[in-house]
Parts: sequence; C-alpha cells; structure tokens
Amino acid sequence: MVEALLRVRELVKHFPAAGDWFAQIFDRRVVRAVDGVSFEIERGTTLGLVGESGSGKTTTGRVIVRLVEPTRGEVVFDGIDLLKLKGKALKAMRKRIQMIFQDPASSLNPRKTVGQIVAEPLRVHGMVKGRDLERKLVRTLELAGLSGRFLNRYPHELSGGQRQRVGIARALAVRPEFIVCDEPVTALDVSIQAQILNLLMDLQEELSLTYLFIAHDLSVVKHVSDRVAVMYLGKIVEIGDVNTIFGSPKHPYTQALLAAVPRPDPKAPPRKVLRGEVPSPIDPPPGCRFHPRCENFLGDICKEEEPRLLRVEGGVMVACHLYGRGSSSQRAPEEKAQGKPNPPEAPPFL
Amino acid sequence: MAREIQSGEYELGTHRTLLQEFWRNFRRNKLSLVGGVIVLFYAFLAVFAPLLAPYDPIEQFDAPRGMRNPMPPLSRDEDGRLFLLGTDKFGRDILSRAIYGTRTLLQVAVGSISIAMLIGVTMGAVAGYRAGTWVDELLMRAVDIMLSFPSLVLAIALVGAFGIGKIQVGPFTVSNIVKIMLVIAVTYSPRFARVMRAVVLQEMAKDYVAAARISGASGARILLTEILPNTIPPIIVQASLMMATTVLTTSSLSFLGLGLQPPRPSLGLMLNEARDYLFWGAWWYAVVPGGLITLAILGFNLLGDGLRDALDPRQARRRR
Repeated sequence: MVEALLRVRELVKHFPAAGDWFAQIFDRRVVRAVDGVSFEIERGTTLGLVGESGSGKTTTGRVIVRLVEPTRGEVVFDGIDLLKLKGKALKAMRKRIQMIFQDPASSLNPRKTVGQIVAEPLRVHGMVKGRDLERKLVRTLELAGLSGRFLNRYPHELSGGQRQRVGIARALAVRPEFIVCDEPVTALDVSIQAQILNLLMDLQEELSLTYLFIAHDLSVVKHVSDRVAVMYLGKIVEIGDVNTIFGSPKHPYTQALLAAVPRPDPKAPPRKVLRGEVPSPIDPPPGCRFHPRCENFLGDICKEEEPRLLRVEGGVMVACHLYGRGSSSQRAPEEKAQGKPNPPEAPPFL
Repeated sequence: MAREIQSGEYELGTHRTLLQEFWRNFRRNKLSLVGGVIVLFYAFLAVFAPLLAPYDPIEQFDAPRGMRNPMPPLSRDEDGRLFLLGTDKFGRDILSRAIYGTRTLLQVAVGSISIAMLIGVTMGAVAGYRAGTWVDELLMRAVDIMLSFPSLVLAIALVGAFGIGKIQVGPFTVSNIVKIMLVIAVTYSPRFARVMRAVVLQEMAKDYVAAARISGASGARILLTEILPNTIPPIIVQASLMMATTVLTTSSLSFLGLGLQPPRPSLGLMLNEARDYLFWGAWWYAVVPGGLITLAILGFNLLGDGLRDALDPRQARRRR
C-alpha cells in the first residue's frame, strides 16, 4: 500500500455545551462533535466524507486545517504531526494544506477585489512580489477557469459559480498538496455544480492534489471520491472503496442513507425513511449510536457495547454488531430471523 | 487541457459599485436627505464662521438712547449698525455669537466623537477578537459599569473630578476645550465598544476570516485588513447618531456652567444667560441658541437614520 499522505487517528473534538466561561462552571456537559475518528488518505486520491448535518464532518475538516483545536487525537501529514506545529512551522505548513469553503458569499471578503483575495496567501508568505505577482495571479485565476479580467472585480459583481472559482483560485495560489473541500458545491445551482466538480477533478489530475471532500449529497460524493467515509454522530460507521460502498452498503445507516436518495422512476417502491431524529450529540445513545433508529436492532448488545470499525469482505470497514466481533460472531443472518426485518437490499441505482 | 475560461463579462445585467448602491438607497428616503442638508448647513456655518459673522462675537455695543440691552432683532445702535437677531445682555451681537457658538459646539462634538470612536473601536475590536476570554470579560464589564451611569451624570462627575477650566497633567497643559472633549469621549466610548464588539463577532463567524487564517495571516493582520474594513458602515451610523447626543451633552455642560467658559461664545451658555431675560420678553435671546441646538440634533438624527437604512439594511428592517 502506498504511504498515506494524511493519517487521522482517534480524533476527538468536544465543544462545551454552555455558552461562556461562567455558564460552564455550572454546566460541564460537552457536545461530542467528533468522537474518535480515524482514516487515511493516499496521495493523489479523494476521500469523500458524508453524513447528515451535525455528524461532525465539517469539524473534522476544520481540525485538519487547524481552524479548530481538537480535544485529543493525532493528525499526521506527510510524516509531520500537524497538531504539534506552532509559529513558523505551522505557517509553512499552511502553504501545503488549503481549504475550499461551502458558501462563496461568506468566504470572500466583500471589501476586497478578486486580485486582492487571491494575492493574500501569496503576500502572507512573501512568495511573489512586484510584477511577477500579477502574472502569477492571472495564471492562478486561469487554473480556476477565470480570466485575468476578473482581477479588479468585487465578489458582489460575480455569479455564485464565479465566486466559487475565486475561492478555488485562492486555495490554489500557494500550490498546496492537500485541499479540504467543505461542501464546495452545496450552495450552487445544479447546472454549476457539475462544472465546479469537473474543475476540481481536472485540477486534481493536473496538480496531483489530494482531497478530503466533505458533502452530504451522495451523488456528488460518488462522482468525485475514490474512497468514502460515512459519519454518524461524530463517528465513522463505514469506510471503504466508493464502488463497494455504493454497490453493497453494509452498515444499516449507510443503507438507509442510500435508500433515501430519490429515484427518477415513478414505479419505484416508496422510499424507506429513517425513523426519528438524529439524537443530541451532547448525550449520544450508549452502545451503538445508531441503535434507536436502526432497522436491524439486535437487542442488548447494540445498547451496551460500542461496535468497533472492523474489516469485512471487499476491504470495507464497518462499525456494526451485525458483522460481529472477529470470526466467531458472523451471526447476523441467524439473529435477525427473530422477527427482525432483513437488512434492506442495496438500491440498484447509483 | 480543455477548460472553459470565463471572461470578465457580466452575467446578470449591470452591476453597481458599493458607493452607487449606497447613494441609491440613501436617496430613496427624503427625510435623510433633509438631515444631510441640515448637517451640511452646520458644517458650512462652522467652517466659514469668520466670514459669515457680521461682528466680533465678544465686542460689546451700546444700546441707543431710549433702549436697553438685550435689544430685539432688527434694531440698530447709534452708529446705525444692524443687529439682525438682536443683542445679548452685554450688547454683543447674537447672530455673530450664535455662528461662533455653533462652530465651537461642532468642534467639541466632532473632536469628542473622534476620540470616543478611537477608544471604543479599539476596545470593541480587541474584545470581539478575543471573545470569551478574560480580556473580553474585563473590557465588557468596564463598559457595563460606565453604561450604568446616565451619560450626562457621568460627564458632570468627570468635570467635577478634574475641575473647571484648563488642567495640568504632568508637563502638559490640557486646555478647557480639549478637556471637555476627553470627558465626553470617555463617556460615550463604551457605546462604540459595544457596537464594535458585536460587529467583529459577526464578521469573525464568516468564512473569509477562516480563509485568512488558513492562509497563515496573523491575528493583527486579520483584524486590521480583513475585519476592520467591514465594520466601517455600522460605526459610521453609530457616529452620526451619537453626534446628536454629543451636541446635547456639550450644550448641557455649558448650560450648567461646567463646559465652555465665558466670554467664549457657546450656545449652551447663551441659553443659560437668556433664562433671566425670558420674563422680560427677550424671546430672541433663548430662541436663537435653542433653535440651533434643536435643529442640529434633528439633522444628525435624520442623517444617522438614513445612513443606517442605506448602509445596514438588516438593522433598518428590524426597527420598522
């Protein structure tokens, strides 16, 4: 196996549930936004991170770019422990890791021109000066599919797709190796989404970029990812090759997510909808966090024991008691027979 | 590689610059235009006071035989000098005094608002940027304490503490007018701090700040070059609304004898002197300075409201 460019191990981020320090004296509860997440991304590949809102996928991305300090855990990038970096070393590392944001309206400073926005990272790092700067800016804009005529425009003069291209150009300006894409097409029209996704994939090939692609739109993730990780309430429930997961999802949550995708077929059977709401991450359910909503609830084991991510066939890792602990507990099919419904079949589409 | 390059052409009709957008919004409200005209009129009075005032504001003229100071509007003295708005109890021309008084009033108001803005914006920016820490807590509790006093009472207390007239701070002599500016600035800076902190917090939540941090920009750089430009509109709105309050406070201090000292022309002092002559029917004595103060407050308030509507549409909607 190729050495992973980014390795995240047992990442935990708890936010205090109470507002200010005074309220925190009386209320020591925490929001378990990310609660023990591990994954690896190989150089030149894309890991898609999917989950509902509140599943902790954005927090995970923000820890990797050091916007959020994690409670515990380890993030190793190219052999360097990211979370221990400070001062100059951290600043140097920021040239290698960049981010593309969800909402281009909020991620571009309304008082700055496109040129100033894209030049900012170059200025901070003192990388290019004087006349070279403008040439570099034009080249970077062209990488993102914009012409140099945009340099003196303000963000409010641009369309949503053009703004997102400016956001991409800003991330590319320092020629990073790794980019966290935090729902980069969610705020865009469907027709523009495809353009931006193809741009990102072209750029990946051309500049040999590595992506962590955060999204909740499954078809988008399927389109761009090599591997996929599914998060639920701060934990990864399933991770593996994109085709394997979309072809035969193992975890009941992944199955439910895929089944919820609308099908453009009037004769298709009605979609299965998950019961209930996502529980509060302040007080997540004990055992398997998904058990109150699970169709394949096995009984006490799901309520008491937290399932660990285990490798099942196809190289996919799943955290579910259905797939047992070790070889002795491949008991899922028999146990289910006791009045429990069969695991839903993987939808044939996608 | 085949990549479609998007040219710089506009996609959605014509776009306006931010300034054009502002002017379009501002113009729509006729009252704010009235406010703008009033404020311009005052600025004109203040700047060209020496050219506009017919007489020296502290020169005393004798009333002609058969009349007494204060003389009513349109009276003349023995040499035929016309006093358009009459004279005061010492025979000084009220029009000239009012024009010069307006000048000093605006000097004090603009000066103290500038200082208050400097102090308040700095406090608010630091508190907002360090929100949730002890620095924020310390600054904001200090602001709370200052805001718990009625502002005029606080100003009176400060003048009381420093004394009337100029004061000596170490090797520096602080003139009376600068001292008043400082007192009013200290009184009003907490309001700027509050507004600034709220705006900084609001801006910090936006992703462009996160992007700057990921770019490796330092905290000071982010605060000064990214956030600060976006806080200007609400601060301008606050400043123009506070101008009205400051005009009132300055006049009140002078009226109480704690502000500008005679013989310096001051609208507040004129009002105070006029009190004794109201029963004698000398209405012009009080109406001229009083009217000027009222009109100034009205003008700044209308302008401030208009600016708020034009610069900060969200706040405007909330108020209606």
